[in-house]
Amino acid sequence: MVKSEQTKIYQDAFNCMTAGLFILDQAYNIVAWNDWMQTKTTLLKDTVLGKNIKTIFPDINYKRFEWALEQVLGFGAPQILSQLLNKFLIPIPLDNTIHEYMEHMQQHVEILAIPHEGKWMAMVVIRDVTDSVHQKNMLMQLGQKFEEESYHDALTGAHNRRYLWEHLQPILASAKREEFPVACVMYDLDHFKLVNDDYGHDMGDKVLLLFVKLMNELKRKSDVFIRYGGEEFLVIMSHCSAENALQQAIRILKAFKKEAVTVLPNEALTCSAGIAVYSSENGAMVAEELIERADKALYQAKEDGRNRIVVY
Amino acid sequence: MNDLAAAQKDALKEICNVGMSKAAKQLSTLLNSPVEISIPEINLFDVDDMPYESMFALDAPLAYVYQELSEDLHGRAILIFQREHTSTLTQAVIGKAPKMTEKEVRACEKEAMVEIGNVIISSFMSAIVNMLSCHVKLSVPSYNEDNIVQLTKQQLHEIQASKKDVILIATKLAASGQDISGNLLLMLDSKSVQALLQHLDTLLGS
Repeated sequence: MVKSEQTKIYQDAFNCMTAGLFILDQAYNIVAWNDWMQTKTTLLKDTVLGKNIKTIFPDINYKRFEWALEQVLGFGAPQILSQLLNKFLIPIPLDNTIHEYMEHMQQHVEILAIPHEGKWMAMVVIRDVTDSVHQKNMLMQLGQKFEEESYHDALTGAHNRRYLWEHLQPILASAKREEFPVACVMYDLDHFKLVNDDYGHDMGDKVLLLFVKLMNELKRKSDVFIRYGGEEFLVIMSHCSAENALQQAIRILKAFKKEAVTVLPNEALTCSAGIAVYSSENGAMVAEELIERADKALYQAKEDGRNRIVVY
Repeated sequence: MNDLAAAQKDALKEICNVGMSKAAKQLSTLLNSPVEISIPEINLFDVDDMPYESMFALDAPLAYVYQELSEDLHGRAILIFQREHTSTLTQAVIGKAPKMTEKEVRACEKEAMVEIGNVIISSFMSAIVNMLSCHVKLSVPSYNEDNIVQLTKQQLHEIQASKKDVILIATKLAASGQDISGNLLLMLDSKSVQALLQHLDTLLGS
């Protein structure tokens, strides 16, 4: 094969690559520009060849790109510009609706060194990774959604026990370190089994949802609210004394008694609560111990006739 | 163990520091957070006397980025970190992105490490090329994971030479308040080591 034929094959191969290819000389002038670059940037070869890349694309992140070019053009050391850390090199707007949250084509870039007359030229290879970034983002969103859901009770939307066990011990560790009290209030809806038995589970669900709604309205923003069991709920209150926890529990009990009439007019629904408090004077206390104390206080409230609050 | 003369060691350390400060500056820009890289120790070893245990626990999972060297120096430049440290580094890098789980960070790790490793290795190699006036061609970077023994065995196997030596450069990288210890290995055939030492001597002589 004669040399001119071979050169023609190389040129055709350069042009039909499904990746962006362009070559820069030592002065950052563009000496080659393939068809992919022409199509994606809508800049024709004739308009870019011989021009400095900085005049063609003034908006490139040159801090990163120039450093990489110095390595390639000065030392022949190839460089990678990942999508993760750079997003893209050449700003190519996306004109489809699939990736509407991304303005520009996401790119994985390699800058390779080509020896030329005793010096180096830089061949920039751009791969469009927009689709795989989009897939990764969607999977991450899905993963985040599953993780969110795994921390919530499906019926009421309140946090579940898994959330409690992951968050209570760190709260107690902070409380010990920074010496603040943490109140644990356990609520139980009185005679809830009878609501389910007499009015059905749909009505039982309505009562549970009412309690959760009231609790969300009345608890402090920083309180951690958990559906602990069937009709048992827990509130973890950081920076809260027994007195303050008691005041809040009184408000909850009153509100529930008042509002429950709207759901079940013929019944006088009430709830009970048990309070235990961790304070730095208690010394080290594990999460289970605090909950156990609140549970004992709640048991006492039930024993004493329900619709009341007992502090451990 | 092959010894580097004190003067050679000092000169090599100085060249490494030039390369690493260039790399640190670039990484600080790239990661948008201050990065410092220091070189506590440099030694030359025969491959049969590699001090594996002083580098990493023998069964510790490691992440490494390597680039092949050719022309005046033949061999590999390999940047190695403990896997758990690379997670910390990646987390520090992408911490500004939406909250990610450990598994998601892991998925991004390879991509970030290839670029970070590429910056460090090429800064280091360009400092060597520049100071010693030699000519070295580098391949594009690759990423892999293994323990120190398997990693070394694999890399040595891929270098086509009967006699090889290793220049071990202990590397400490500090980013986002975290200290990350690693090692940069320059695995060369014996001829290249001799060439490197000669270049160093020439530099010292001048």
